[in-house]
Amino acid sequence: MMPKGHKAKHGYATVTGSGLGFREISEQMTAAGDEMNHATARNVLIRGLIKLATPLCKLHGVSDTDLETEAIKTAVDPRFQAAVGDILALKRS
Amino acid sequence: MGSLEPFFKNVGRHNLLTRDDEQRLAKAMETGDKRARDRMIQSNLRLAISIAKRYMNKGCEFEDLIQESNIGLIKAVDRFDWRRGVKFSTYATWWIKQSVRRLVTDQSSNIKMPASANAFYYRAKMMIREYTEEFGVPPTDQEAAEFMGVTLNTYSSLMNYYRGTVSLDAGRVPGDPESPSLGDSIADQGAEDPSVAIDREKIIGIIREALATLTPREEKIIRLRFGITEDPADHVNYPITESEITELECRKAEES
Repeated sequence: MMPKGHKAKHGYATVTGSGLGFREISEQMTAAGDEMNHATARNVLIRGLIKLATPLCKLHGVSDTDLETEAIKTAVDPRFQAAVGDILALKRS
Repeated sequence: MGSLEPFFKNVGRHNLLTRDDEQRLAKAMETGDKRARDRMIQSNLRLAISIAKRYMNKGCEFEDLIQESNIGLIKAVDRFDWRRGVKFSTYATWWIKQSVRRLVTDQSSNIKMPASANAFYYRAKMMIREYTEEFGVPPTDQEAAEFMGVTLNTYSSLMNYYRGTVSLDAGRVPGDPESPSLGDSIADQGAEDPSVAIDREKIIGIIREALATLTPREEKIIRLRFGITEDPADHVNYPITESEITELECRKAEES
């Protein structure tokens, strides 16, 4: 569970610019033939972000026992999500 | 000095004025007599030159010093009040010095300071010299600030401006542009810490490697979420996985 005041301090994981909300993503995916609702879209996103966060947590010396918890915490952190967005944009350019 | 020779010859032709002459000319000037004003100026040019000579080795051209001292002299002539009973040379000396000092301080530093700050600096320097002569030691900054009637902060700030400037190229071996200079030894406060830059590159590298482990479905949703693709419906560039395509095709076939 997110500690009290965490979101007020670190912000909410919202998207800006051309980023899409989970409902819009689910609509896009459904239109492309991969039917899903907004919750599934979020679950898939978080699952992908956990994959990205796991090696970073290892880099910072998180023990194997805490790895899963810390990776989830990192994955849902808006600062991490913003950084991933920047890196993806860099990769594309 | 060659270009000034005719000027010096001309200066020598005018006699010095007595106190009575000064008063007579000053009275005539009050009635608008321009010739009296010219005579007053010309007769005191030697005073202006002698004051200008005292500032010869302060980084200014002698011609400029003469010009400034003459401007100071003209100001003194226009402001002289004979009723006060002082000799004109006593009165004019301050105007000439003020004018020449302003030129010297303007040209001797890369930082242009206001005239009031220059005047403060000269007064402070004079006070420090007198204090040192009297007590054998220079005053502390706190004492000097009290004598000058300003706060320690103001005093320190003003005096710091006059400590002089040093070139960042100082210390370089002449003829060797690669040799270290003073500028090379000053840390760039705005520069990024190299260890932070290395960490950042490492993190970016790890995330890029991790991106390869994403399924195309996850990558597509991440891209849609962050608006990385120009066309969110671009399923050619961002396809779902082979197995998912097969699964979808089967589902479609069942539906139909």
